[in-house]
Amino acid sequence: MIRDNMSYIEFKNITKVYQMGEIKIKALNKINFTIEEGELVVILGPSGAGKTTCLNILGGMDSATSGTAIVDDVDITKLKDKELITYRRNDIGFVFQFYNLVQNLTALENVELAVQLCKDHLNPSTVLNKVGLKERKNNFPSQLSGGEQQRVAIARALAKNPRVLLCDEPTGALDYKTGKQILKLLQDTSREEKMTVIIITHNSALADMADKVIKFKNGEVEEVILNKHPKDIGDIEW
Amino acid sequence: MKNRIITNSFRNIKKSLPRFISLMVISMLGVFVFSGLLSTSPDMLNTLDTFLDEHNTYDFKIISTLGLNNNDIETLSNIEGVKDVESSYSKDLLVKLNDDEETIFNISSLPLTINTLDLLDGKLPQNDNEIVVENNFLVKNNYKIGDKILLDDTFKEDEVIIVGSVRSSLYYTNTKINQNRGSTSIGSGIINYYAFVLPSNFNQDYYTSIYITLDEAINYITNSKEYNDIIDNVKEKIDDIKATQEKQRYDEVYDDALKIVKDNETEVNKELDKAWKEITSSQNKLTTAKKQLDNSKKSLNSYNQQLINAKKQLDSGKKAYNDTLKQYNLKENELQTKLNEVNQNLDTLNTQLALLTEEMPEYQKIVESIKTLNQNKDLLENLINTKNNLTNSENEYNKNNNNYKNLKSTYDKSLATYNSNLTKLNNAKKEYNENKEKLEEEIASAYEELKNIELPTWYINDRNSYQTYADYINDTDSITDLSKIFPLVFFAVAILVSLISMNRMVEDDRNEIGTLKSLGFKNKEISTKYLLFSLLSTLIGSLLGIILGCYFIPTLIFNIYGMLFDIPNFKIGFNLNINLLSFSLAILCIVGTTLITVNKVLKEKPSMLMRPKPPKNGKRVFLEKWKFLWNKLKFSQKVIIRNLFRYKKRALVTIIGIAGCTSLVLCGFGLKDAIVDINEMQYGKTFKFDNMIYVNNLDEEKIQDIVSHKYIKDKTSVELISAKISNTSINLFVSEDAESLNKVVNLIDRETKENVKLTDNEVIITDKLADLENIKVNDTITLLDNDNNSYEFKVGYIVDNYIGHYVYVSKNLYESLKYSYKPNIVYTNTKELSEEEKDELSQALLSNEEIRSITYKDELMASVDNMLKSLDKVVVILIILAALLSFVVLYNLSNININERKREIATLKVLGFYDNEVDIYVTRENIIFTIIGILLGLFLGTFLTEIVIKTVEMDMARFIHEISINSYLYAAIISLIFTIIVDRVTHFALKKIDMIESLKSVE
Repeated sequence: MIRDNMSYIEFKNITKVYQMGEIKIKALNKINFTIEEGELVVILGPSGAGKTTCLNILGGMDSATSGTAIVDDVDITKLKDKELITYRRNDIGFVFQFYNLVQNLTALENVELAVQLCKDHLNPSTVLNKVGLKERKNNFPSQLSGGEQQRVAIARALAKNPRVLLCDEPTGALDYKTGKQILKLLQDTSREEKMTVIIITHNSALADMADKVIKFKNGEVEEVILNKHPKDIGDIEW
Repeated sequence: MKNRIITNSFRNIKKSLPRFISLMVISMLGVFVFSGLLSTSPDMLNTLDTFLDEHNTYDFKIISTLGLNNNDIETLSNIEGVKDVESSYSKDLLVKLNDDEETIFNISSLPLTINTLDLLDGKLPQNDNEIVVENNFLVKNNYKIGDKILLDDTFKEDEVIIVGSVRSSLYYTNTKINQNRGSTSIGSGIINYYAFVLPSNFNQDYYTSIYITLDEAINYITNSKEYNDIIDNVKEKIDDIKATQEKQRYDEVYDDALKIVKDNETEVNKELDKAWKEITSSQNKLTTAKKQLDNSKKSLNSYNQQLINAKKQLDSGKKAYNDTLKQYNLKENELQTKLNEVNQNLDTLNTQLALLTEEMPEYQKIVESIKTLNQNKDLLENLINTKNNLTNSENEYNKNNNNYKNLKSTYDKSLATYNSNLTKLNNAKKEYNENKEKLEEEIASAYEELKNIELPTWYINDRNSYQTYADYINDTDSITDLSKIFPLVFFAVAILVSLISMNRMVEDDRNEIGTLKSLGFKNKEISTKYLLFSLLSTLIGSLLGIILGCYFIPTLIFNIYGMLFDIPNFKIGFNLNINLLSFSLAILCIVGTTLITVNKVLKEKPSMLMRPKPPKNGKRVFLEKWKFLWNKLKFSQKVIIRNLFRYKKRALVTIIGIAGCTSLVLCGFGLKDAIVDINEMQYGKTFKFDNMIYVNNLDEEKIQDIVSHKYIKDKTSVELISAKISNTSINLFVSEDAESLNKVVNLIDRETKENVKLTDNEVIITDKLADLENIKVNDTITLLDNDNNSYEFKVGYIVDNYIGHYVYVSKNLYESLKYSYKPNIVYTNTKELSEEEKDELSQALLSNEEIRSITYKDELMASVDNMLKSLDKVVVILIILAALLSFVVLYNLSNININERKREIATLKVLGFYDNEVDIYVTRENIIFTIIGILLGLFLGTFLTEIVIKTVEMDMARFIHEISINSYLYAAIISLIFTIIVDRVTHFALKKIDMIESLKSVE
């Protein structure tokens, strides 16, 4: 397939309708946007605007009702269940608001759990060192602070060496300072590893750190802003 | 306004339907087993009681060593509490059948009101020459209504026609294995069939037994406490009159016997007198005859003397005559001629003389010549006269002599007759004396025997004296014992399942509980939801359990006991107490655990409740301390090991549930193992014969002679005697010697498993007998046979045996007790026989009068096999129970497992685990729990099986207390299959987990 003028990620007329019994809820209404490889994208919007649905579709955790979503020349809306899993397995890294670590595994083991799936993975220990958890590798999640747990979650996502890192409110459960550290880690990762990182937040102040900001409102893309000069996260205050 | 707590409760049930159903099923299982097993025993008793009551079956049966009479009947019917009294005649009889087989019948008089019969076909006897028989007889011997049976002269009509088939409530042993209707002192010692004729057909002046029913007894279940009290009460009263009645009967028998003896004596004396008179008259006759003979003899003698004299005269006459002849030189035949010559000469001379005168010389000369001639003439005439006289005399003499000879011979004949008569008389006298002595002796001994008439003994038997009744009662007790073991497993699992399940439910609802609390609801109101949930599920489950349990389990067990008992119309009852008990137990277990779980949570503060409960922390397990080992494990293995230790409670329940399931399945198969091989062990391994031929007690040589056929390769004769050791019926097996015993039986010591040999000092007994009567090697045992002969033996060995009880004794030891060895059974080995060849052999053998019957090994085995088939049902039921148990447990736990770890699983999915990888991740633990559970179950099941086998084991057979490897294998595989099925179900539940929903936020 020839990549001709096409972006790395392209959402075209993506619509998502949830059927709740008799009621149909339109979570996404014909949204369109593109993301280039290596971009740090922030998706902004209030609760219920469709941010997470959009991310879930991108992450292969949910399917669109209509429209096409192309990631690296592949239309993921056309993928079958099993192909979607393979897509998640090899191409996507996820970071959640509530970390979702396996409680029964140590920090290192949580990362190992993820990397055992992919061929092209990074060394779990190295990744943990990189996210600043060199000393805490053998601790269980319950023995770690929220920020540390989120670092483990990020490390787990990064260790898979994904093409796209998706973060759903990664700092939502963290205090300001810790949240900032996490965002810094994400920004650094994007810059240093040339990784496509997509962060969902409702904090508009974070718009400044992104290469591209996509604003959601009522299930539609309200505005796409390109930052020519994104700020370092350290320089942003809120 | 509606109570919204209640609304919430019902919505909740709808929402967590699987949980509701699993609680329902587990309570159903517990109640099913408990109610079912507990109500089996009352149902069985009720069935027996109904059967007995419907036929107005006796409460007491009185028999006496001297029989019973009308006075007994009258006295018994006057006892307070006694309702009906009925007399009965009875007789055990050897009957020869059409196919030459012999069979033993117990023939009783047709009952009137007590022990009434069910007429199955035909009609009841109305004439003396009619008989009704048990249905089995018709079926098993190819007889039909209208056929004839030959009885003996104890019956007025000895040829009777079968007019119908009946069932008697006096007999309810199942006769599938052997047609055994009790023991008898005749023939093989076993009654085969029962039959009834009119009382008037009995040639018997006393009653064999008296049956009694009581006023109140029919209102109570047989063997219940109330029933037994009534029985005991009346028994005391019967005991009171017993002695009087025994004396009364004794007097009657004695007087009758005395009268007979006296009558006999008179008769004998009369006969003797008559005989003596005859002897005297013939003696007189002989005396007269003797006198006559003597007289005859005298006259004969004188006659003889006369004859001798006559002979002498005759002889002397003859001599004189002959002398004269000689003197004159004459010959007898010349006399007449000479006389004629002389007369001629005389005539001539006389003529010459007339011509002459006296003076002439010639005259003188002629006168002289005439003179001489006259002299000659006289002589000759004399001689002729004499001759004639002699001839006459001789003729006379000869006539007389002949006469004498005739007389003499007549006399001799008379004398001979006389002599023979005399001898006869003397013999008659001798005979008379002998007879007289003998008869006098006989009468004396008859008088003596009168003294031997012993005071009779009454036996007052209640229903318990019928072995089958006692066995039945015992078996109902065994089942009650079983109901203490099985439900335990189910209730234990029920408690665990409800504990975990409700715990999970309450934990899931923490937030809601907190909210309700903060809204100001009381603890009681909040817990309503959970109590309602568990109460409703338990209620529905218990009801289902009661309905199914009360029907299926008693029916099944009764069917199994149908192998032993033949009682129609099983009655399924509803026992309120039992069902309330099992219902309460279920409620206690399930609602109780709910209450405990809910209260634990309700104690927490609302604020705490509304905050999410932190997930269970990960922990290191002890294994990790050994780094060298831990580091070698694969990542996935590490995870399993951690998880195993993390969810201890769940692990425990799974293991116990699976263990319960496995042990139930094992128990089912084990039970089958215990019984299924008995047949082969007994008739294949222990007994080595191909068929057994019953003969009359005969000498060895005779047997060798009559039991022979081209098919018979080898034969061994033994004497088999039915006997008892205390209450256990045994077979006393008398064998020629150790060698011939070894030809029939494989004697394997039960301890050493080595072959043992019979000696002339000790007997060998079978193992189950040893267990039942607590006999050890070197103990002395006392046997009592049907004729009340007692035998004492020392036990040398105890050997393996499976069906029946045997005491093996050598001929020498047996005869040393002054009994003589007369074999009555011949065990033979034949080549493989086809059905036609068997018929041929049977016919050839049975045509001999001395051969009673022939039984083939495969007939014996087939009947046992038939019985064992019903055991398959037990195995199926146990497997179904086990399956339900394991499904409930595993499904429930898998469900909880999945719910508890939803986030973890969703995370795995997000990370890109394929479905099967998720399955493995989750179910791997289950599989390990299952394996541990199976191993534990096999271990526990071994004990459970042992307990169950011990409980259901019959006295007559030794079950095999060894579970086969196959059964272990089956139990393990079946449990594994159940686990796999549940895991498959789990797979869909896992697939349904929605990543997005589960990861959205912490609930």
